[in-house]
Parts: sequence; structure tokens; C-alpha cells
Amino acid sequence: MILHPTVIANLLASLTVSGMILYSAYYGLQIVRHWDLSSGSELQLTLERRTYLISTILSYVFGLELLSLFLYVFTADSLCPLFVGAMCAAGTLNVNGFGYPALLLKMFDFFLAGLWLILNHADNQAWDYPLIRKKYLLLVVIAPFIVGEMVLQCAYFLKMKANVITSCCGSLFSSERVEGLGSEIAALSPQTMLWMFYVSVAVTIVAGIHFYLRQRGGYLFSALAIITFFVSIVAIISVISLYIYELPTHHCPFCVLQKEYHYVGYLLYLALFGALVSGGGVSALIPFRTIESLRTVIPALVRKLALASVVLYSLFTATVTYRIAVSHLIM
Amino acid sequence: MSNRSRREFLRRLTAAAALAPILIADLQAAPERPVITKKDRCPVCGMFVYKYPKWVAEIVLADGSYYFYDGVKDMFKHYFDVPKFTRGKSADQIREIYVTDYYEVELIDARSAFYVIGSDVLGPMGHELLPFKDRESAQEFLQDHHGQTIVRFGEVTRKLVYSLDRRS
Amino acid sequence: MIELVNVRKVFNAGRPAEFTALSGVNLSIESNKVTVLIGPSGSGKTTLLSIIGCMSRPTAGRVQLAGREITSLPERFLTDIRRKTFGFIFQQHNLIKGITALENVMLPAYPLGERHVPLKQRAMKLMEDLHLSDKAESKVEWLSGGEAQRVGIVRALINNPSTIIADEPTAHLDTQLSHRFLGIVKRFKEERKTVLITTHDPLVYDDPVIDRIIRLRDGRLEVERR
Repeated sequence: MILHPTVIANLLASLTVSGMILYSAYYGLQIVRHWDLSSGSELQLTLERRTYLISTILSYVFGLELLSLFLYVFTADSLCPLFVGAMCAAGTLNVNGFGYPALLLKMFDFFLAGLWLILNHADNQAWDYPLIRKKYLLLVVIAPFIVGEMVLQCAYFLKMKANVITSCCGSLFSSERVEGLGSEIAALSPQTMLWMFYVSVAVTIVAGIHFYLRQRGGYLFSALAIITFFVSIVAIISVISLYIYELPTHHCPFCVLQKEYHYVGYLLYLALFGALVSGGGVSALIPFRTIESLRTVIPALVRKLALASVVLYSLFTATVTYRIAVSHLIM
Repeated sequence: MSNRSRREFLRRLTAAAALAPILIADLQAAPERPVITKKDRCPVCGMFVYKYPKWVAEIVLADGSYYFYDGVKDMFKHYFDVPKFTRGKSADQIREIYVTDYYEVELIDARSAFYVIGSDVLGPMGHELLPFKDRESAQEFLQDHHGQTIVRFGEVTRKLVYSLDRRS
Repeated sequence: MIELVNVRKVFNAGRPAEFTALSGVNLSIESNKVTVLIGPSGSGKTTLLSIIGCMSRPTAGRVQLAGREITSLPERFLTDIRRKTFGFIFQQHNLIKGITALENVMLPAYPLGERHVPLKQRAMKLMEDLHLSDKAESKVEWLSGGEAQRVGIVRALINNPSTIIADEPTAHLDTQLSHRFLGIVKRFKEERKTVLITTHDPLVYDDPVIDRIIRLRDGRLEVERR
């Protein structure tokens, strides 16, 4: 293992998150089984006190989980000088077989964590805990993914050896190589991808504004937000990166996180992931708008989420457009 | 012309003739070396070249444009596929190629250099072709670092270059 | 109407110092009436009062306030109800030192975000009703026992609560001031407020303004009279 401060931070964060989630899931399961708001029994009152504690703990724990995605990528980026052939996080993640799977699982867990936080927030706004069972059931479902992520991360960092030659991102995301998802995405036609990206994000923003104003079409907007997320990621690899680097063959999605590019990658990915979670959260809450205690809470909340998603996608698009406009690339 | 003005004219002509070699020599002196800035990137892999000054390779084209690389391997990758990495340019526009001698750490002409492959010394991009200005230095390096062969510029092929991308 | 159903309160449960303050209290307190809780020290009066006033939660049982169940409410809702429904008068007046009487009175209204000028006017009016206008700008340390008690009463009224809870209000008052206090209680009753008082003082529980007496002993209700 490499005793770099970022590695230790990652492992500590991961262990803390998994530990707290397992603890909470155990008690959450009790709540799911025995919760009965009308009963005045000692167990019920104990559960009421306990949910207050657990949902507070989990708010912080899932918040940490959200940050840890970026910490993970930052760590991979910081460690790249240690590995021959690596010049960015792409190379570091390729050092053993666990790097990329851990990243993918972390991205999925980011989405789940965001969803849970949104559900929890809605539940806390009502006086009679209307979503409490669903919230803790979701927690129980999320728990194995979090533990799996912890296992993959530990395996990745603990099995990291310094004397390996890793693939450079130029070859991982080259349009030449036949195998590998990175290459397949890189090989897509840049002009087509750029058009697809702009169309996709424009439709999503319009749907979001429509939902914000008319409160109709929430599910459609959510679906569009999720689709646009994937389209944007593919667009970053196949065309946007080329403009940011001003190199017609460099498709790497991780080099944008570096100092030389003013860390623009963090802004782009923060906006993108934020837009995904807030957009997806809309359809997680809409089904519950008929519950009495949430009747005033949910419409206001989903509007705010939709607005957040629209703003973040706009920010992403504006940044991308600016970078393309000032780029010296000749396609 | 009068006698006096003819002598004047001859004196000036001689003075000019005396200066001529100096002027011609000046014209033939080496052109300004392109300087590596913090923004220069290898067109093949995108690495920032200023981070690896000991491994720099360079290609200069006829129109004055130049490219830096973070290793000889990437230079060759560009050399064998110029239009792919730089639109609108081709191999016949190449005027000068330079590589950094491994021992002396200074730029030497690539076409006359000797390259050691298969050694245990790794460059920023992994396995590399290590350049030397003469065969004796290349031989010495080969023995010290378990190199496999020494090749000349003309013997380097595309296949050889890409075979160095192995991870072991 | 305040209803208590099977309310139990245990401190330090499961540990050697375990103490049951209330064991199974079932009670209905009528609105717009003055109710008195009497009982020896340690009988659970203050505990019962704090549970009714949303200041603590029971170990078991439920409390309903005007038909609305309050013990299961999340914290943010509980504080809201507490602030708007109840006015507390403590035994030790519990005024905050270092600020004036007027500022003490206005304090419970700050979280509700009212504008300062109307709030101050309301506070001054309430203080006038209890003959405290000239003490408004005095620091709390300079007030006499009776004045401090009255400032405490005004503070309890600032949010115009429907229920006043007073824990041993006459403990540090002489006879004259105690009578004055009972006069204020009569005024509360006329304003159709519910009043709940705990006391040892016969001056209080023998007074005709009292509608009902409840006896507590060892955490349980005893037989009532009147």
C-alpha cells in the first residue's frame, strides 16, 4: 500500500461510511418491522428517538459519500507521478484490476446516496414520518453496494504496487484500439456527438423549465435528466475533451481535472453529477405527493430540485461552450 | 570616373569584401532553438513536456512549426502518422528531428543517433528507445542496463515502436 | 384539552440508578380551567409538567393536545408548538442575567421573526398591565423577588399562549405577592386560558379560582376532590 495522505483519507472515509451505514441499516430494519405511530409503547417511543439520531448520522454519512467520489478521483490524479506511464487518474486507476470497477460503483453509489438524502429531507419536513419505512428499506438496499464499494476501494489501494507500468490515457481512450469501452466511445464521430449533446441538454432544460412552471411532466423530465447525463459523459470523452486539450486525438476524461486545465474537470463533473441527482430525485418524490402530511412539502421540493438540475445543466453547457469557443483546435 | 573617386570606390569595395565572410557566416549560423513552454504538450499523448526535460524529442517542419514529445517513442508515433495527430501536416514537410542524448542530456540529430531498445530504463511513457550520439556510448549503456539491440533511425518501424507499449 | 394516555417516565433505564418518575398516568386536563397538581417532593409533578409542556418526551404513552398527538412529533414541530401554545413560569424565575427585563420578556418571540417595533410595543403593554413599566429598562439583577416573578409571568405571555404552566410559582413570594399572583391567574381564566399549576402552598390550592386539584404520589395519581 502507498502511504499517501489522500489514500489514507479515502480508506478512512470508506470504512467510516460503511461502518455507519451497517449500524444504521441494522436499526433501520428494526424500524421497518416494528414502527407503529399510533402505539404509545416504550418500543415505539424508543424508535422515534432513534430515528432522529440515525437520520442525522446518515445525512452526514451520505454527504461524506458524495464528496468521496471526488476525493477518489483526486487521489488517483495525485498518485499518477508514482506510476510509469500514468499522467493522470486514468493511468493510476489502471494500475490493478480494481481501480475502474471501484470508480463505477462509486458513481452508482453517489446517485443512490443523493436519492436517499432527498427522500430523507422530504420525510423530515412532515410531522408524521410518512416515508420512514421506504427510507429505511432503501437504506437496507443501498448498504450492500456501499460495502461492496468499500471492499473494492480497499482492494485497489492495498494492492497498489509502485513498480508497475500502466497504460497511458492516450492509449486507454484512443480511437485506434479495438477493445475497451473507452476506445469505442472515443471513436464516435465528434460532430455528431456534439450535436446530440446540445440537442439532449436543450430538450432537458426546456422540459425542466416547463415542469417548474406548470408542474406537469415530472417523470419525463427525470428521464431526460438521466439520459442527458450519459450523453454528456460520452460527449466529454468523444468531443468536448478534444477542444479542452486542443489535441485532435486526446479523449481522456481525467486529464481535465489537472492544474494545467485550471481544474475545470471538477466544475464540469460536479455540475453533471449534481444535475443527475436532482433531476432523478424529482421522480423519486412525485409518487408521494398525495400523502397528507407531504401535500404542501413535495410540490415545493420537486420544483426546487428541477430548478437545481436545470441550473446545473446550464452551467455545464455554458462552461463547455466557452471552452469550445476559445479553443484553438482545428477539427 | 576620376582617379580619386576610383580609388575611393575600390577602398570601399575591399572593406565590404573583407566584411563579407563575417556576414555570410552569420547567416549560416544555427537558427533560434524553439523553447519549451509550460503549455507545450506532446501531440500524441497530451503530456506536458516541461515536466520531463531529460526525455524531450523535437520535430521541426518546413513552415517553421515545431512539436515537442515526452519521449522518442511518441516522436516516432507522430513521425509514422503525421496527419493523424496534426491535421493538415504530412511527413514530407519534416525538416529537422532532434532527440535528447541519454548520457549527455543535450539535443542531438535524430537521424544519425543510435537507439537502444529492451533496456530496463523506463521513460515517462514506459519502455523507450534510448538515444545516443555514437555507437560506443550505446554499447556501454546496452551492457549496463541489459538492453537487447541497437538500431539506427532508418531501421525503426511502426511495429517496433508500438511493441514498446507493453506493460511489463 | 390536554390528554395523557398511559404516560410513563423512567430515568437512567437499565442502569443501577434507574428511577421511575411517572408510572402509567392517565389524565385529562380541561381547557379554560385552572388545574392544580399537588404532591410531595419526588412525586413526579415537575416531570409531568415538563412532559405536558413539550419539554421532554415520555418513556411510554402518548400526550394529545387539542386532539393532536404531540409526543411523536419530530423536534422541529415540537419546538414550534411549544413556542406558540405554552407559556412557562418557573419556580426560580430563570431570567437571563446581564440583559434588561424588557429584553428578557421579548426573548421567546425572537424565533418567530416578528418585527422589532410592534414586538416591543406589545411587550411594554403587557408589562404595564403588571405595573412593571418603570422597571422595563432595569437590569434583571436589580429586580426584587416579586418583580422578577412578574417579569417571568410577562415573558410567559409574550407569544399569547393558550396554556400557562407554572411550577411552584409562589415558592419565593410573600403572602401579599402570592395574592397578587392569584389575581393574575384569575385574569388568565377570564381571558379563557388554560392554567396548570404545581404547588405546595395551601394559599394557592385553597383559593376559589382553582377548578380542580390532582394529587400525585410516587408517580401515580391519587383520588381527586372538587
